[in-house]
This record gives sequence, C-alpha cells and structure tokens, in this order.
Amino acid sequence: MSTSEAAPDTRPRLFAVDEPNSAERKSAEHSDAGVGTTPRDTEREIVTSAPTGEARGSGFGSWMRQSAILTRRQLLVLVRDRGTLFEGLVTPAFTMLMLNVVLGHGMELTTGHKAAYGIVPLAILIGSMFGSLAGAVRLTQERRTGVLTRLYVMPVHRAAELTSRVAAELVRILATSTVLLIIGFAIGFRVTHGVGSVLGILGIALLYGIAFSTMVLGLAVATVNFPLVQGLALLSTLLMFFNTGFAPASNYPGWMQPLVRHQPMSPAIEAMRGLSLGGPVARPLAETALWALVLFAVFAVPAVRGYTRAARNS
Amino acid sequence: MSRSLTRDGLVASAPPVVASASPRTRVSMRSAVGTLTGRAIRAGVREGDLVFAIVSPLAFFVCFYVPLHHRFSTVGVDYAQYLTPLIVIQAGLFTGIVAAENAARDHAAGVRSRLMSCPIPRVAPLVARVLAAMSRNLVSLVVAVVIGTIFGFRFESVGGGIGFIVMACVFALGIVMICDAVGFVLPHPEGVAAVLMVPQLILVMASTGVIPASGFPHWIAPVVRNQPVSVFADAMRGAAGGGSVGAMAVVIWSVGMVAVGAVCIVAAGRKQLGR
Repeated sequence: MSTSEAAPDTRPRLFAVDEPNSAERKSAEHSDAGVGTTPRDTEREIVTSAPTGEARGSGFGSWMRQSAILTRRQLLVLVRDRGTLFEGLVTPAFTMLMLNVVLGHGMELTTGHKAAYGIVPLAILIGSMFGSLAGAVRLTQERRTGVLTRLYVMPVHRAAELTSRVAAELVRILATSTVLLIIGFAIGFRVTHGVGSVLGILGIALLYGIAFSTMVLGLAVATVNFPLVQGLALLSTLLMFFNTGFAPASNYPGWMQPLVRHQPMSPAIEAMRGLSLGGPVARPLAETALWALVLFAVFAVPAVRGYTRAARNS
Repeated sequence: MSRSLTRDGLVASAPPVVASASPRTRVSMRSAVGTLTGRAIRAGVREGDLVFAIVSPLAFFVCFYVPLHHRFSTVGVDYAQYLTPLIVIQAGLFTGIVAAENAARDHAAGVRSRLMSCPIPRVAPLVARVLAAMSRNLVSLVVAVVIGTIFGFRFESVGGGIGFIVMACVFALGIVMICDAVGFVLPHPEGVAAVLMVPQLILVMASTGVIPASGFPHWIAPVVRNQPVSVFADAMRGAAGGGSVGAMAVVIWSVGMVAVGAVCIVAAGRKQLGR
C-alpha cells in the first residue's frame, strides 16, 4: 500500500508513530507479499514522507496547539517532580514562617510595621527563584538523557517546546505565589487596596520570576560541566539575605546600602509592600520592570539559540 | 558423568571433578577504606564539591553577620563570637546533605551492589563514605573558623578550641550517618537535597545560633533551647569563650545522634541485603 493510496488521517500527528505491536508484526510476516503493510505502517509512511514544513506544523495554529500539549507535559512533570515542589513551595513557605518567628519581632521594632510585609514578598520571590533552579536541574537531566534531542527530531514546531517551558514556568510561579500569599495571610500579611493589589502582587511575582527563569534557562543551556545550579543557588542565597525584605537597608553598612536597595529583589519587594501596606509603587515597579527587561535583553536570545544547540547536540 | 568400577564390581557414578577454585583474595579493611575514601574525595574535588565546602560557610557567615550584627552591637554582644558556632554546625548539616546525595547517587547507579560483590569488608564502603564526608566537613570547619576570626571570633584557651572542634566533628558525624541512610532509602537522587533542605532550614533558623532564646516567642522558646543545633551551638560558644558548656545535654545528643545514625545505617543495609 503506497502513501498515495492511503486514506488521509485527520488525527493530529505531533509525534513520530510508535513501532507496530506484535500482532501487527505477525500479520505483516504472514501476508502474501512477505513484507506486508499494516495500517500502522501506512501511518508511519504518511508521517515520514510528509514535507518537512507540514510535518513540523509551521503555522501559528499548530505552534499554539503543540505548545498547549507540551505545556501539559511540562506541568505533569512539574507536579511529579519532588525537587521542584520542595524548592519552589515547601522551602519558601518554611523560610517565610521561620523568618517571621526569628526576625519578626526585631523587624517590627525597627520598621514600625509587621515583618510579614517584607517577609511574604521575599518568600514569593524565593519561590520563583528556587523553583527555576529545580527546573534547571530537570533541563540538564533531559539534555543528558536525550529527551531534548528526541523532541527536536519529532515533527513538532521548533518553538513549541521552548514556549511550553515558559508557559509552564508562568503557571508554576502563579500557583506557588498564590499559595505563599495565602500562607502569608496566616502570619499577618494583609492587602489594604482590594483585589487589584493582589493581582498586582501576583503580576510582579510573574514579571520577576519569568525574567529570572529566562536567565537560568540561558545559563543552563550554555553550560555543560560548570556546576551551574550550585553557583546560581549561591547567588540566590546572597540576594535572599541582602535585600530590604530581610532587613531594613539601614541595617547594612553605608557602602552596601545602594547595592541592597537596587538589587533585583528589593524593588520588587518594595512594590509588593506598597501594594499591600500602602506606599510608593510606581518607582519600585518601574525599577523591577527595568531589571526584567535587562535580563530578557541579555539572556532571551542566548536562551533560544542555546536551547536549539543543546537539543541538536545532546 | 564419568563411570568407574568399584571393588565390588558394581558400576557407580563418580562425582564430577570440579577445578579447585583458588581461595578468594580478601582485601584488608585499611586498604579498602583507603582506596574508597580516596575515590570519594577525588570525585568530590572533580565535581566542585570542595569549592562548595569552602564557599558555603563563607557566604552564610557574611549573609547572617552583615544584616544582623547591628542589632547585637547595640546591646554589647560580639556577633562574630556568637555566630561562628552556628556556621560550623551549618557546615556539618550541609556535609550531611552532600553525603545523602552521594549515597543516593551511588545506590541509583548500582555502585553499592557492585561493591557488595567485591572481596572487601562489608562495612568498608560505609566507613569510606563517612570519612570522605568528614574530611569535607573539616575543610568547611577550618574556613568557618578563619572567616569568624577575621570578623572577631576568638578561642580563649587551647582546651576550649579542642573541645569546640571535637563537638563540631561529633555533630557532623551523627548528621552524616543519619543522612547517609536517608540518601540510601529515598528513591530519587535528584530530590534528596531539596527534601533535606527543609529540616536543615528549621534546625538552623529555630535555634539559639542566630539569636538568643529570649528573642523567640515564648511558646517556641523551650523547643528552640533544647533542639540539637542550639545545644551544640551554646556548648561550642561556651568552649570557645571559656564559659559553661552544658556537657550533659551535649553528651546525650551526641550519643543519641550517633546511635540513631548507626540504627538507620543498619536498617538501610538490611534493606539492601533483602533485595
């Protein structure tokens, strides 16, 4: 049976068709021609003989459809990955609770308001950062085990896999930020300006989180032997202790205060604090957006190129 | 089967001739432990573990000291003297996490099964892993004391210094033994560090290593005072500064941790043999 005689298969074919099962193989072996073709063989021929553009699904519609399927895959992996769950949600939640117990009273005396207004935004950002690091570990494993290459050679839109990773990160950040915000309410964090402020806080978390994820992805696909995750974990830890959510800027040495005030986490924390407690929002929000733009500008293109290279060469 | 004629004239089946196998060469405990420890240390150096052992106590000292020393200096407390024991203890906890990761990785890769078929004492791989972890801990301990000294930490006496180091090593030994067994039991090597970070975080933050017990809410203060990190931190601070050590609590926790570690390792070993 040739490809021209085969009835067109209307089902979406995103992935290469599996090998025929044993029953199909037997029917092929016992056919008159000795080679035999099963419906599954025909399907494989249709897929493999299709023009590259069609097989890949070069249109916008197929990109979106395939991205949705791969996003679902990424989210299933996320849910089943204990490391991501712990680093992106459990650890930040415990960090929030412990910081509130240990430093809450002292911060309240220093700042004049509840420590939760600094600690909860800090925990939300920690969740974004450490979840991204767990994602980097997973990406490295997928690269090492050849999953990226298998996806690369399948008839899937080139951009779909990368888009799905970004979409899954957005969902993860939104989900963990919401949970951490709910836990924050239990330790005294309140939003005084209604639902808009809550959405604003989640929006800042998404902006910061996706910018950080882009940086992590860009570095993860660019490095092979360097202990990237340990290095980034160390950087994240330093950022976590040297910001205005952990302690007021006045607690740091004079020469360090500008660094503490303007490192990426501090403006995001200040913007969240402004939205919840009341206070300036526009300037810290603009600074957060600027940091996000810088990270996108520096790491977005290397991330895309490096990802393609990693998929091709792994 | 070969046939032979007996004295009675009956034909009997002779047992098949088996080539006498040379007795299995046994490697001495010392040699096996030395080789395996060397292997583990070299692997750690190659994978950047040594760098992490040096950088992590340095980073955490700076992270705690810079934002919080201001609060302590106002009440006349030298925060470097107060904080250094905690950084040493935290280095022990990190060593435990790394030991758990290594144990899990070895287990997943089938290294343990292969070693069990080698002519070495059964306990040699365990002793080697613990020694490798302790050597890593020693590096972190030295770095922590050096960074503390730069910021103002001092030993008041030689005896106090020795006591400080012994307590740090005993704590690390107990933690490494427990974590080694945990790493053996957890099914996925990738998730080990993430899972163990949470108890590490709680033990460090809810301890008298960061701030005194009086700084905690009254409902949690008794727990904070009597948990192992606090007991060791207070004792090590006392030993370094020439104050009271609270030896009874330290001995109880030391014996308890090492005993629990030993039980965990035996249980994990039994699980391996049962497979």
